[in-house]
Amino acid sequence: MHELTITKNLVSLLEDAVRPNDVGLVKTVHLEVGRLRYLVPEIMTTCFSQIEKSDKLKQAKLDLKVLPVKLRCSDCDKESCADENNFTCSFCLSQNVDIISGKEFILKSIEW
Amino acid sequence: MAFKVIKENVLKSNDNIASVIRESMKKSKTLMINIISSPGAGKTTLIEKIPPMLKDAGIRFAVLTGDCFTTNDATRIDKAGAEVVQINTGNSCHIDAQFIRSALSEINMDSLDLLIVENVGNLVCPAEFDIGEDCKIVILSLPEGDDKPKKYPLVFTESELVLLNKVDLLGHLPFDIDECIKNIQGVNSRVPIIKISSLKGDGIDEFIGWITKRINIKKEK
Repeated sequence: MHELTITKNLVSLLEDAVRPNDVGLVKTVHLEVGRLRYLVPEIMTTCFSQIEKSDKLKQAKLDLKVLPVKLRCSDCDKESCADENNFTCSFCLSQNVDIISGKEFILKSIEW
Repeated sequence: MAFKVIKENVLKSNDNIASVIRESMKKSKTLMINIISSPGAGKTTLIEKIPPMLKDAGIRFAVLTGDCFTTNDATRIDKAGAEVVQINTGNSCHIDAQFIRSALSEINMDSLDLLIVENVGNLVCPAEFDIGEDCKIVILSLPEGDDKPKKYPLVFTESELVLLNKVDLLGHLPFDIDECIKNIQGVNSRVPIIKISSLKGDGIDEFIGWITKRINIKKEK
């Protein structure tokens, strides 16, 4: 249940973000999460609703965008997506790849 | 409707603490390894096995062992002759950097070459949290099945060593070791794999050799 710790971290970042006077009651929190993070959005939403927050955040909904796993091949230098958990270059089938996206965990923006 | 762009890493506060820990390990030239596996894969048994060999190799070490509630693991490791600090994580299924920072107040790092962290038994959450370690090591034991790297890829992509444990059970289980290695390399083609039996002792020398090499690299930096 990493969602609870992660959501607590998120709320503390959000509290900093909403502190300025010009920020109103937040409607949506936009997040980008890499597929390899294995976050369950429903659990995260439950955690978010349970954690104590300031008034500006109480009505906020989470919008979670899952980012695909992207690889860069060290042999042919091309980039490809990995839909399954077999990280092989789609072009030359080399396994000599680096994961360049898919592990993100970013608080992108807030809307009010 | 108004909008504010933030673009901040959600785990920033954890990662900041991890950086402070990493900096202090750099100063004391202590290699910190973070051992991760499912419950029952053999983390504690491995850590119980290695104190005499580490001592023979002249390596000064301590162990931080994580568990939600009990002190069972610390008791076992203490009996095996290692300096150990228990970290009880309560409801948290992993160790984060804050737990390490608190536990380190009980240890004198300047006198250590190696700090072993035994994470909470779990293949998902511990992989996500930077605790300031030099490297993550994942243990996969044969009874868990050869498909685990496909199911829990992050811990295998984040680890710099895979220990395939309980190889003494090969032949007694429907476990295809070639398929398992293929699955590990499918998510991390560069990671070294050592076959071990924590209980019987197979492969432990090779593991100690790997650690010694990493300690020497750290000392030279």
